[in-house]
Amino acid sequence: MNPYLVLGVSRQADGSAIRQAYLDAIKRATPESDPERFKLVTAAYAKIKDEASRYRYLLFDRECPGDSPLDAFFRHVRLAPRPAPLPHEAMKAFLRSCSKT
Amino acid sequence: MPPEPGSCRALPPAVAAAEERVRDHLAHGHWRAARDEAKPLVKQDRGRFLPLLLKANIGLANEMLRKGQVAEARQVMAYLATMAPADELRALELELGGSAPAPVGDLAEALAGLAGPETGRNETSAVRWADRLILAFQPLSAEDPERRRIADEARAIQEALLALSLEQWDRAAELLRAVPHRSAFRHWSMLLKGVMAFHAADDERALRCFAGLPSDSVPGRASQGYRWLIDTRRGRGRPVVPAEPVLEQACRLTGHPGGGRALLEAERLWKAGHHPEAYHALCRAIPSFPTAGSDWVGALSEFSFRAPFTLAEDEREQYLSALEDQWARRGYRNGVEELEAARLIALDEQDGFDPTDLRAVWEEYLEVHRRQHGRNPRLDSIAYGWLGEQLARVQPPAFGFIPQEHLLDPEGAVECLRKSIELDPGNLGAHLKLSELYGRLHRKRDRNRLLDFMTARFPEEKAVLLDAGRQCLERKSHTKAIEYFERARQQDRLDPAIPTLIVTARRSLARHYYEKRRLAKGRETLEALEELLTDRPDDLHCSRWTHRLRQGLFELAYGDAARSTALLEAARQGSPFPAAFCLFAHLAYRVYTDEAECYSPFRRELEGALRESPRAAHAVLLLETIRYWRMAANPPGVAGEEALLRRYLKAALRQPFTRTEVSQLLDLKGADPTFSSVLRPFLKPTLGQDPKDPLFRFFNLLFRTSGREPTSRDRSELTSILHEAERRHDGRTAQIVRRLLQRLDQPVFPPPIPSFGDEDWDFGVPNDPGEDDEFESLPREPPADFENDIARFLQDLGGLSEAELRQLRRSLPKGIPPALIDVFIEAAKRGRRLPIQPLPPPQSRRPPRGGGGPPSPDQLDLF
Repeated sequence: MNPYLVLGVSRQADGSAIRQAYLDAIKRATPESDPERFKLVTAAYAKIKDEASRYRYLLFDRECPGDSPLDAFFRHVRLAPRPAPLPHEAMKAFLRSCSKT
Repeated sequence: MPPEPGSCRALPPAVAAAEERVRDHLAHGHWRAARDEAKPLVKQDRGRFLPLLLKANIGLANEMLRKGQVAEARQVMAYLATMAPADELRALELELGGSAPAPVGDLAEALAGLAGPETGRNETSAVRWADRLILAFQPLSAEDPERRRIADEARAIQEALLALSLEQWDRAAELLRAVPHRSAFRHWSMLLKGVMAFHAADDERALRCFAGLPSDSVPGRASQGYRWLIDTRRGRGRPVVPAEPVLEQACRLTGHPGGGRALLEAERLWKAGHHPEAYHALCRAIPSFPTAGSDWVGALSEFSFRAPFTLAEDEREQYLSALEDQWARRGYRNGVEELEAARLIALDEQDGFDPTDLRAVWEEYLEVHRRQHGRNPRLDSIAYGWLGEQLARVQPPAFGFIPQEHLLDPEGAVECLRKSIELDPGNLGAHLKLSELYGRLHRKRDRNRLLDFMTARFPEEKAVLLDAGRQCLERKSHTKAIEYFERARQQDRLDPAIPTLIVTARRSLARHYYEKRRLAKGRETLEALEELLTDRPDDLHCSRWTHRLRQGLFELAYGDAARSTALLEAARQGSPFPAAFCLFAHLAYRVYTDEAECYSPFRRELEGALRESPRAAHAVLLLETIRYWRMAANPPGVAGEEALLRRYLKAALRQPFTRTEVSQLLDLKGADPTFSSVLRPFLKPTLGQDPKDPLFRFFNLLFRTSGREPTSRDRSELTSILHEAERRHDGRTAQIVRRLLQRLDQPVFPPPIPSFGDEDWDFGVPNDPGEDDEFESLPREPPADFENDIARFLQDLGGLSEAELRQLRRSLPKGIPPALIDVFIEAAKRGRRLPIQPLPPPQSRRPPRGGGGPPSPDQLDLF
């Protein structure tokens, strides 16, 4: 579980940005409304809440984000923020690729 | 498109190298170079290399289009038409069609078809014409009103697509209002509405919009990717693996076209156990891989560098070796790969036992990090602190001649921790670890100096204050110790350990005063403890009755007899039962007066008290009392007291007892062979109540196998006990049994061979004739060949590179500890002979006579 991904912050985010992201996330996923997500968010925050823990995560963390490449992709899709709309040219290329039978 | 693994056959080296170059060029987007290298290869093996040439040309054509070189791109297309399969070519034309104007005839046909009467119109054709008009992405001109209307609707869809890309939601919605429900472009309108709902996180609405789209249309196919993303985000458990086109759409929608096939290929290879090949497949397919980004390519990159820790050891070795070979051959693709590679190697070395290697790989990683991200003393400090901790690990014993408490590299650990502190003086953890390490190395002066520095640097850190206080206690600086403990208590009033430490310190100080006959000070010091005392009768350290008892003994030894009598009487009244008072007083007296024999003024009273109403519950507290005083600074020998308690327990067996009491007794003394005969009778009635209780089954097994450690024959029963303990969440029993099973898994080393030194043989006494033959058959010195073999081995070892030595350590057969090979390596490096130390004599493995109980606590370290 990539804590930056769970909280939706970049790896360069500082402590205050991470804390704000954490507070926003637990407002959306409270222990009553979404206990699983709440636990995930809380665990993610614990891993990177201060500078020392962020460094420890950077240096020593071994947790694997999936059991296989596809599983890592699936988990990423689940956790990542919703993708932004494609740029126009990319959208055109995407739609054209869908025209193949 | 890499060749299928099954089709690979051995290639001549030159061809293999050329293929490698082509793949490298493709990975880096050097299309022309890839094309030029691939052309001669196609002539040699069309089936294998044509896909590479096609890929190079497609990439080149795309690049030309991006630069606006449409004519050149068409030329490449024309060249492709001579060799690409027809369906590939069609797809390519569509892929490339956007930047080139669509044939006017096609659009006119589509426009005419849609402008015609609806009745008799083929719906499939209508959908196709609508798709064609939208995908042209060019203005349509028309003169008659019907065609103009259709052109306007098409333009509205196209402009809505643009607005959507720019996140101009209101504008997009407004444009879509111009497309009526019965329009030929209604499917496109629904697609865009669904996409807008998706980005607004309204998944229900998005799915409703996508539901009615015809499957055989561009909107229908385009919606599949969005639907899969929605289902995956909402679903629980593992998502269904989609078909490649849908997966490819999901990859495009998340910003990385071309990932679908790469993911499926990597998945197939990974699941088949071809882990390095899976990594290579991702490298080939995704030019930017690996990355540190927050997209799915970043997630795959993270996976590739962390998955090795989930693999079995041999698979991990294979994965690392393959990647290291590749990096050595072609270098790193980018900085992320270099950094992650260094990190992976460093973390992998953690499980090894070579301190030099461990430090080298970590320092290399830090160097790469520094080069890429600049100097970061705090990060380096944490890394060195961790290194120090690793180097201070206890090495596993090997062959009996490496002491149990041998640390991996104590001096290296000290050096690393000092460096950690130097890099970041605020690194409290490094300070604490260094203090603890000094303690283990018995470097008291260094420790005290460090603690003085720490108390100045971290004046309000509880851990520092407690550590300093304990050191002061050891040095008998009681006043200072009390000061530190009181300051720690100010930081954390809820920590129960701190009052206990204060009680210890004050009591030691009081005793010091009494011994110096400073009675008033002694009494005052003890009175200051009143607020910290408890009324729990089983709290042997801080309870009021034990406190009165101690003070009574001090007064008895150094002070006032009348006070002593009053205090001892108060303690007796407050004690839970007479035997508890007598035993505590007896042992305390022995400790305070340094009485070596099992004697005190309370001995006779103790014996009498033990004869009255013996009970298992009381036996628990009595055994706790013995254990308590055994942990004193100068613990007394307690063999006599334990003998008394054994008789007591025998009598207690005749009274009712509970399972909890038996459990506590076993906890305290179950592994002690001198108590097994008295504890064993408690087991049968207890097991009778619950035959499956894991703790009792375990001790039953121990008592049954008296005289020997459990062996492999007992494995199945131990395993069954472990499962039952886990099922009942009995963590403590599970831990004990698990440890025992781990010991069974370790190889059994033969007993050490006795030394063959000369002094063993020459006693100056002539041998009996019969003995001469026997002795002459045994070598007095190792044979010369043996020494030559060793010398050659050392020479070979000294010639190995660091990478080869690492590989050698990793590939040791099971049962050969790494520490042994390290001795050889060290000798090889220094060019010395091996140090041959006399080995201890072999120990008898026969069980003690008379049966006895289970293995002694020294042999069976369970608790």
